[in-house]
Amino acid sequence: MSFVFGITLLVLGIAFVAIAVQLFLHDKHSYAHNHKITGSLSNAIAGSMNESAATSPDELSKGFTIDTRTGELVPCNQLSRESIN
Amino acid sequence: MAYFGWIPNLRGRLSFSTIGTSTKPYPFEKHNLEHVDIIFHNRTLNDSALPRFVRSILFTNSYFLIRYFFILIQFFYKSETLEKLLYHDGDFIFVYLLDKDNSTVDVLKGKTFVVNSTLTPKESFAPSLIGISTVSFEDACKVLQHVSSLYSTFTIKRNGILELKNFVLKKVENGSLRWVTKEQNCSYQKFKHDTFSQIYYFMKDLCHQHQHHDPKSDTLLPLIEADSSDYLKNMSDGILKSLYRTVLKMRRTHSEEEYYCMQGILMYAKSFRQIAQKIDPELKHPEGFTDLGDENILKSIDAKAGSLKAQKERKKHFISGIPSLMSLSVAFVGITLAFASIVIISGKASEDGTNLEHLKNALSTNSVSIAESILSNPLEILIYIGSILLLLWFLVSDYFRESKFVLDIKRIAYSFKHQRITAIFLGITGFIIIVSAIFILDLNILLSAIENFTSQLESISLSDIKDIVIKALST
Repeated sequence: MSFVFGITLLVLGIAFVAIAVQLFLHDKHSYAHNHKITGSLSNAIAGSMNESAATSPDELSKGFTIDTRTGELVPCNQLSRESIN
Repeated sequence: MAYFGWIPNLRGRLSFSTIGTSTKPYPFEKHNLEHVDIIFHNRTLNDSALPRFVRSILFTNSYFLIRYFFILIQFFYKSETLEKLLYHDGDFIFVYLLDKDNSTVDVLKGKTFVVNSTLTPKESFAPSLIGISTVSFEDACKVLQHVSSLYSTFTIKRNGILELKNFVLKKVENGSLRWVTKEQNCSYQKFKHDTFSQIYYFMKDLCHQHQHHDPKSDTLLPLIEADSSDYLKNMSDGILKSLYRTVLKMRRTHSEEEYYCMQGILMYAKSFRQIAQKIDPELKHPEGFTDLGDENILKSIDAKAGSLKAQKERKKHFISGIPSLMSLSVAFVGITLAFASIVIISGKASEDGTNLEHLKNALSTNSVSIAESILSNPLEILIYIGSILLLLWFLVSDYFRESKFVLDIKRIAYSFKHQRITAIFLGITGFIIIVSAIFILDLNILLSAIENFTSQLESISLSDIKDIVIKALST
């Protein structure tokens, strides 16, 4: 069990370092573009985006969620998969 | 008013028999009954960058107390993010119900329903549909209308034109519609359009294999709101504009695959133009969307794809070293094992008074204990080295770069303003995780090494080892 856990952690750790290296070497303007449309940490974890920064309709994924307390439909415009580069 | 969309196909003849057989983006569950066809599809419309299990533990699962801590925070400090994470659920089951009795060879008719799978699990309503092989379309509708949040009727023509109408949106409070979203000028009408776009994406996934784009991308083609009498002009402009925008956007990428996909998308544009022309021979497309420049684009695609292919060959050359690395790891383990055997034998031999004393003295105590642990766990060492090399190979591949995990981590990383600080923070986090992993793995290997080695020492006598070595040397 600890072997599997250890190997999983190792994979995660190396993946984090690899992403860190990629980010470190990433083009500054591309980073600025991505930062602009992601907006904030709260947007990223809630599955939202900075809608006003979207430059074309295909950056917006139009959807909906449901409020589990009332069963009411709620709009949910999200960052589409193609808009991160 | 109705909504119109196009399900891409190349010959103007959409295959009805393959509906529901696609596995992209996720598999469908199809039931072929006497009067109806029913297809279920699980679709998640919440696009949080947090992994699903983390979201469940922190925000949605009542068994974990931390959820109540966030509910308390939300009670005192109203946060849009917490509201979404705690209470808004994006897990839905989309249901396609085909009315076989009213469909023909060239036109399919039926209804689509959207059911929230958290509030109404599939098991609670599906048996009353698929459990009765002779269930009628009307009876199936009654069951599904009762449990669904929204539904509409659909008509699919052989040329791929989809018409959605008779919409019903249940439980929407107009007044509080947009408080969780940033957009200010959203009307009920726009929300309705966005909502039914998701039904269009579902129908598109159902009937179409996504040959030339990422199966998870849903924004490539628009859903057009129009009257049944004059839909073609609006639809044609919207679809061609969207397809050409996609092509131009793909041209900015540096992927050979995307360049070949561009060719496919241009073929879709050509196919749609032919279909529209067939429906209305008088139809005129706007100047920017005729096929005049298509040939130039195709030649440009060929040139760029060739250049990218050459670059890829260089990368391939680099990656082809990976199998050699694997062989190297096996050779390394072999050499290490041989070395470890010599070290242990030398230690034993010197205890026995033989002439290998000089070798024992030349080696530090640490190297002897390391050699012992290596010799006791040859399989584990091979697995470690093999895993690490495989991992390195995976990290340089496109599969890793394009995985959802990496995209989500990047989305979180992009949310911070300073690129370098974020990269350093991520790097340090990764380093801490690696150190923890090594600690866990080492602890494991050391314990088993000590245990194995002591038991082996007890069972094997020195004369046995000497006999084996002498026998091996003489042969």
